[in-house]
Amino acid sequence: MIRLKINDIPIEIEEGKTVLEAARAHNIRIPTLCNQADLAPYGGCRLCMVEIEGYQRPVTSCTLPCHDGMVVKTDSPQLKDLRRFTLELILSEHPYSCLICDKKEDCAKFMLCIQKEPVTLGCKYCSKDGKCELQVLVEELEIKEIPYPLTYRGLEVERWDPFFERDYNLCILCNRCVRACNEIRHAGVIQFQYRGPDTVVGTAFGLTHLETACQFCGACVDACPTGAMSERYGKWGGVPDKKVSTSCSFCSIACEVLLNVRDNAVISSEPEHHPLCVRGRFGISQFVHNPKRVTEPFLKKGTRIVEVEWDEALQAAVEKLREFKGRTGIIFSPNLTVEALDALIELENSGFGILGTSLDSLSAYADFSLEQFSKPAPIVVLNTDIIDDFSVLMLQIRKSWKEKTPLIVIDSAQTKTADKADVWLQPKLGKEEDLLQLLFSESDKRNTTGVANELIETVKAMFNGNGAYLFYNPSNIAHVKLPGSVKAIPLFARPNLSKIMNMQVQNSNDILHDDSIDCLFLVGESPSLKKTYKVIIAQDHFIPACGYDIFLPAATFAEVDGSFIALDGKRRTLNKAIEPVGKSKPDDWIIKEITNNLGVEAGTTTRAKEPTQKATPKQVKPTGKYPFHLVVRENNYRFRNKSLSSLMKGFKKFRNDDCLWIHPADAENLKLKDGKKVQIISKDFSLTMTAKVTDSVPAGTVYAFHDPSAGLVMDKIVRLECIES
Amino acid sequence: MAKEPIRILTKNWDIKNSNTIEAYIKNGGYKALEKAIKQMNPEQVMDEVKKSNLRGRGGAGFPAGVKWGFVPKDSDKLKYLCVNADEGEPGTFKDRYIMTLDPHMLLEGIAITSYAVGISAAYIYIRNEYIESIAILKTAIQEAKAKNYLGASILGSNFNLEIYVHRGAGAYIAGEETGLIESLEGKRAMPRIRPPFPAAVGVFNCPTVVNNVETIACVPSIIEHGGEWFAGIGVSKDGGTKLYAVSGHVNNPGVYELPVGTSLQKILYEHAGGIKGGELKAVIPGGISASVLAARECDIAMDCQSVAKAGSMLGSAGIIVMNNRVCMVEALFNIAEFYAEESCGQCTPCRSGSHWIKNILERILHGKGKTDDLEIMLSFIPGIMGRTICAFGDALCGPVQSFITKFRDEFEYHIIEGKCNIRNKLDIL
Repeated sequence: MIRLKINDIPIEIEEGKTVLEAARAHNIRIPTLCNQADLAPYGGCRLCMVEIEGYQRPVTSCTLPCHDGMVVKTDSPQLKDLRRFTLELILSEHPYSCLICDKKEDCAKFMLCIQKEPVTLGCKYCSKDGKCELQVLVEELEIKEIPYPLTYRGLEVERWDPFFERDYNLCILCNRCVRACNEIRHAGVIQFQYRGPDTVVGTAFGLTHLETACQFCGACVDACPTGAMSERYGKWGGVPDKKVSTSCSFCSIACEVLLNVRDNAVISSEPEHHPLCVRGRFGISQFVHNPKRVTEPFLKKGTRIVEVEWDEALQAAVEKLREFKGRTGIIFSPNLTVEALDALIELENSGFGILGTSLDSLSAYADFSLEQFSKPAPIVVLNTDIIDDFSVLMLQIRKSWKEKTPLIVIDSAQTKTADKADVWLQPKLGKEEDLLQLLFSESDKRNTTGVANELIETVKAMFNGNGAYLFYNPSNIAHVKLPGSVKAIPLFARPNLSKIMNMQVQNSNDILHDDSIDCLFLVGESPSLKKTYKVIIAQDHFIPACGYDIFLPAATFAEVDGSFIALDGKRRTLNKAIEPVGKSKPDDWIIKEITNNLGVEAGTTTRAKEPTQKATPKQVKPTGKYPFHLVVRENNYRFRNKSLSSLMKGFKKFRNDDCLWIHPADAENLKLKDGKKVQIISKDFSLTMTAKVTDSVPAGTVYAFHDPSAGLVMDKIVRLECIES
Repeated sequence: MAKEPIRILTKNWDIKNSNTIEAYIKNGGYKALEKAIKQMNPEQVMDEVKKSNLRGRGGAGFPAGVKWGFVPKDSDKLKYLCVNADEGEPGTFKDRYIMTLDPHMLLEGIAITSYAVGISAAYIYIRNEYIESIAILKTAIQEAKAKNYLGASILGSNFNLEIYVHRGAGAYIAGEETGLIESLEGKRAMPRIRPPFPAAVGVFNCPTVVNNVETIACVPSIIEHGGEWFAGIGVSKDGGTKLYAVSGHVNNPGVYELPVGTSLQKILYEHAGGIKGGELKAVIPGGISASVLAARECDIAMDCQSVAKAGSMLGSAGIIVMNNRVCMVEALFNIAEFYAEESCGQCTPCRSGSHWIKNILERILHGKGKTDDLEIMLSFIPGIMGRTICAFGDALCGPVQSFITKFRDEFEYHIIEGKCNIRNKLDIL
């Protein structure tokens, strides 16, 4: 422990901390703009200058390590003058007319100003008004006048990327966004460009963020102290009334997230303790208040669909379930809360229907915790785009490691992860398991994987006897025999798996192929139907693709209290941030109401079932009639019955799920152009998608994302046909 | 009786094909390396350099031997040497001559330095504009490798050394040692926060020695003739000879090798041939970062301490001479424009301050100055000087303060009359 004095207050602090950190820990305020607790010191803004006894000049407290006996002064008049000088210089680069306006107190009430300047250059029309760190500092340092005229940079506002926009005219060059991008996210998308007064934040070669490796995690937006970087959707949401801590439900990692709430609306979300990805940072508010969301119960009466009250809708659902007792399949999404799943078990126990969900590859399920990854080792990623789908997990694992270990990607397609990998091994399709054998065990097997022997030896040398972590996509590989030094972790996109395994439910595919089923109750799921049903009851946020007879609007995860189980097997809490939108109700409430109205005592009938175990789909060779191999990739950008890209424009730009990746040579043969519609025909289904011509997939193979509502569940052999436009 | 001038760095410059290894060896080259490797241990080499009082020639004037001594001996990391050949200081053009006319002296110096500190990889960070020097250095490295003065097992010992020539991308701040390191690592050249100093954490987080070309080029002579001999040439605590690069209004501009502490008058009038086109008005003694000296202050010795005493600094000893036809407002604007453009953008006072100083000077120059402009500019000084991460801010403040205080009447004339009194007079003449 180190003892020092700040403003005559004796302070104890552990070794290695800076003076600024010591002051912060004891609630002594030192103004700063460029320092952020989780970023390396930068020392750029020069506002945090302090005086140290025995030092000739003031020094920046953010860069100065504490040492024993130090006597620090943070608030002398000289320091205040110095800070004022520095802040005035900063403001000369930032539109300041409102900041130093003597009428600013009354401005919100009366809008006294008729000048043009505040409209274009003032705070009142900045989305950060009320949340801006400059406003706080101007008050604190009592700046009334600035001796320099404003140098407005006159840069074009960058609005061409999804999720956030950038107005570098408001930038004060604190470098926080740059460090957040590089240090927290290791993305390296933005950096300072040019020099002197022309210095500006930007991407390499002026590319758009979409063209770079940007993951749109929003770390830069969160770091920005001014309005230079702003979220597009929540931009004008204003200052939140409250912040509610809950868990993001979009994927199985289940990050902690803070929801900013104002007037019973989620205006934006921000990270709480860990970084978020694009879904949690920009997706939640748009999802909850999506214009496509349906928040009233609907009933099909004859050929018309009419809005009804809850009583009528529930009554209709109950009647239908009674009518089709024993002939009802209840297909649910794993994205529900544990409470809703419990309610479903109750409902099934009442004997009116059988429960089913997609159980593909669930047998590979294994619990893991982040503590498992205490020892650094090379990371092997098999058939998973971990940087796109599980970016936060990757960050958390690597966070505690001092050294950077190699990232090795095994994938037949060139994913974003493959681009970032130290080594990318591209095996022939279906040879992934063979390649693993060659990598991890001394096998004499002939190498038929299509990967050069030298490359395999290089990777083997990287393991160096330390073992490795293997992250794999459970839907492609079922059983991999590995030595003990290799920890294999299947990455599931859906939560609640340990719970679902104990529920012993049917596979939804079996239910859909069961001819005796006449009524479907879809809870958050929208499967591709094999037959027509007499009745479909859908309970969801959005209208399912397969249609419905009764629609029960469910409340989203931001509107309910509850819990669900994350990928690491731990329970995450959901805290209600806002009242359910419209007439929507929590899932568990709806199911319980139905169960109660059915009027059967719980626990009367239980069907004994064997959980169906699916064998690994056998590799089918493309034939003359079906010349292409369609690979279905796990999709972590789906929630309940919708893919995020079908709901939000930003996701459509960033990651369009409705596209078929095809090699340029194949596209040429088919005379298929990028962005054109293409029909995919297999033995048992046919659907239309948008072609994405890219050489990141091998020829003869096409890739699509997992989409049960379109029937894209497992690998198939297909034929492609161009659709003339 | 006139003494034979001592030539250490320039001794081979007059020889034909002086940049070839044959010419260098014929004139006693690589003897010092052989002596160091075969007869001395690394500590002895370092002691010899410490004894020589060799100060860094890049601008800061830090004793070289002391700097080497900061490199931790027990570190298990690789150690690196970075030779600063970014020579970006306006008015400085000495290193280029060394690299073009006698590259092997630099390479031999690098080898001896590396031997003394325990370095096996050295970088020459050279500004990209020196195309000729880059080619010559690369050839010289090949020649030296072929003769086993570089490469593996040098001269049969177990000392290995590789030298890489790394080209800069044109930022002034890459001449600052930590900015240079960042740039060498492939990043944007921005100074690092110190501590830690490069001697402890430098290139690729390894202990690193950063020295100027001229500093390193002095090392072979020190080993050959001994540290005491070298120390005896200069003044106390500042040994050897110095390359003075004289430019501006003199009859014979150029690089002159003279003992450290030679008087400025002697340099200007005996060697550079006197003032051209008028009378002496002012001298910037060490690149534009140094404060200007008015003609009446020019009777000084050119060594670190004497120049510092006169209120300026020896810096890189790039002497810029101005005669009485020079408008000081224009001269300062030229300097300020350079700084405003080259500030890396990291520290607010430097980035924004240099910009405002340039803007204010521009309006004074064009006859639109305001009465309090000089006070505004001077009021920047306490906010910038010593308030930034690197010395760039100080380098900006020195000229601004000295030009305005020493030639205040010219600035005031510009502001009040809205025109230049120098040009005015010239026009009348």
